[in-house]
Amino acid sequence: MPNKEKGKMMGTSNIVGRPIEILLVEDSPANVRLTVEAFKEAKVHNRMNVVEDGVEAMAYLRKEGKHKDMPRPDIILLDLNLPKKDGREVLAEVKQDPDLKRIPVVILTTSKAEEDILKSYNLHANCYITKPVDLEKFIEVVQSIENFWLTVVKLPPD
Amino acid sequence: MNSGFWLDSMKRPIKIFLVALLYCAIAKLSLLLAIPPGYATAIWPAAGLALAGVLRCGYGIWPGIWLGSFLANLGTSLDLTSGATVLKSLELSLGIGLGASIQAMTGAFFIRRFVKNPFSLQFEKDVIKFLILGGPLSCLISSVWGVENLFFFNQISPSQISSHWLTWWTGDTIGVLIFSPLALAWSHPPLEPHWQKRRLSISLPFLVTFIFIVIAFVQANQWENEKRELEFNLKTNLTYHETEDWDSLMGGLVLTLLLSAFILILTGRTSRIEDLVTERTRALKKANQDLQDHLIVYQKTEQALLEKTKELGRSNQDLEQFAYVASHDLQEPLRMVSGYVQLLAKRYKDKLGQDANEFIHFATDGAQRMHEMINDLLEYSRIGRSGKEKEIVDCEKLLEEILLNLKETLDPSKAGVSHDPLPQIQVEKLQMKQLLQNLIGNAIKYRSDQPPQIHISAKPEDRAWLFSVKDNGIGIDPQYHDRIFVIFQRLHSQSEYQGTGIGLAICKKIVESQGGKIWVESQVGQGSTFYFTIQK
Repeated sequence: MPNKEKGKMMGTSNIVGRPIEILLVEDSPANVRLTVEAFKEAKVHNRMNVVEDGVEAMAYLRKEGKHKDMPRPDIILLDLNLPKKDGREVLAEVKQDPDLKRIPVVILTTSKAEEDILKSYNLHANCYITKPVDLEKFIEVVQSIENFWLTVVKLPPD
Repeated sequence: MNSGFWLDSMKRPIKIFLVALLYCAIAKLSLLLAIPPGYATAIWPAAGLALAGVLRCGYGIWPGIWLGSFLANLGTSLDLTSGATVLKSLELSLGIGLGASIQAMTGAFFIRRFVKNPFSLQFEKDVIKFLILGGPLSCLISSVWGVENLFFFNQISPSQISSHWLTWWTGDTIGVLIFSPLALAWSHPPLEPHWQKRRLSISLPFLVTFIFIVIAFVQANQWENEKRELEFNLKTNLTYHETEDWDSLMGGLVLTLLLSAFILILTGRTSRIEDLVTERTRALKKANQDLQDHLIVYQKTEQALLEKTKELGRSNQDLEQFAYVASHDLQEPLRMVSGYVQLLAKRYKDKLGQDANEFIHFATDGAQRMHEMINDLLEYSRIGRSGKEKEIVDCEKLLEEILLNLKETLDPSKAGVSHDPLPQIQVEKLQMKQLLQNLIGNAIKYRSDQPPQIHISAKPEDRAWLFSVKDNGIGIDPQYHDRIFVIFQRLHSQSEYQGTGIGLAICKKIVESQGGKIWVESQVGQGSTFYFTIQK
């Protein structure tokens, strides 16, 4: 199963007129695939870029090494529990970086713990979403992420 | 009696010899004070010794007394002028000795007969009986017998009989009154814990009394002699002047009797009190020791209990932590199973055949149920972990909120909910709400053919409120009354009633975490009443 669905176009076009650049930071391949499939089912026109850990996520965002030609993501979907560098650290670094802090970061996790929620918002996460177990609900969630952050919300230019 | 005691381990002939020796020596000393012709004296400790000897060593000791008395009197009466006079003095001494031993034996006989504890002499009755029987009463024997002998052997004139008898009797009696208790106290092995003390406390006053009597007697004799000399000059009366000082002799005797009784009774009482005090002190000490022992045991038990409680608390916490973590971490793989099965169903329904459809359906259903169970388990493990403060909750208002929540299930079932006046209680509001909501929800869920009738009441008990939720539902077989409160235990199949079987387990945990109890009274077909207590 491919980890990176780089540049793969799918679904209908959105307000930006081009596929949405999504950075998914998630270590579990099953989870990655399920998210990818959910986006597919939700018919979101996107390009999903996947990295497996926090260190790689930062490298991607700073266009370091092999990521130097990668596009800047429109939105980051960040899991909290990651190898090497934790999702919370990634969130903190992104939100302290003047170039990156305007990218909406959606925490997408299975944790319902109040502590995690509180900490994420304290680190300026843009929103916190607990992944539903039910697939249909997950598809709805994915759709609403796309709808809200990339259609409803007016974001500053890059 | 202690067989190892010096007197009791002696052989009888030695005892007899010792008594004879002692009697003779004391008698000899006493005779120094005798009135002429030297037999009768107002102080005769030997009589006391004799009585004590018989009491301590038995009647078999009599030859010692007899021998002692014989030897002492022989010294006075021995007349070596002719063979006849020698015989006479021997006869006289033997006679007096016989009287002395019979007197001692008779006194001992009466004392043994009538005095309960002749050796310890602690009690008033014993003391008085002992002194009267052994003293004035039995001393009649030797005095009457001895004086008769003196008269018979022409030692005294008829006019001297009465004064001699009186002196003799007084001497023996005073001897018994003072010396028999003394001799007994010193010759008897300890009878009481404070025996040695008692010996000493008796001895001193007795000896002082004795010395006082001796001095008084010697003094009185002197005056008598001076008076006699004076009378002799006046009347030139050469005949022996008999002692007519009856008053002083009787006075001395009575005084000695009273003093002796007083000393014995006093020391006896003191000794009894001391015994009592010792006994009580020992009992108190023992009780104290017992108490201390109990305290130590109690403290140990308390410590053990405390440790066990701590351990239990820890293991309980571990278990809850485990349940929480397990159910939390189980969510993720479950999400995968559930998600992919659903994806499979979405994309490949009716493309893999009827069997595949069913398999997918069961897999989805299983994942769904597992999801519910994990959520329930999470909820269950969270009870008591919220750390929320207790607050004053108005149960009537709480019930209104609950009925509003349950409106969607209440209305279609045409359920009627009534209640008695409900109290304000201090609880974790959310938990109390869940508790009541679960019970009311169950009452509706497990309803009979009739529309559900639910009644909630609360009545005050000593320390708690007893709540009850009564329904007219299907009821529960008494054999399942415990099982229904166990997590994931159900009495019905999924097709009859849906659910994981967590509701009552949660109720139980909520009630118990607040220190209360929950139980049910019910029969199949007769409705159920759930009771629970909440501390006031």
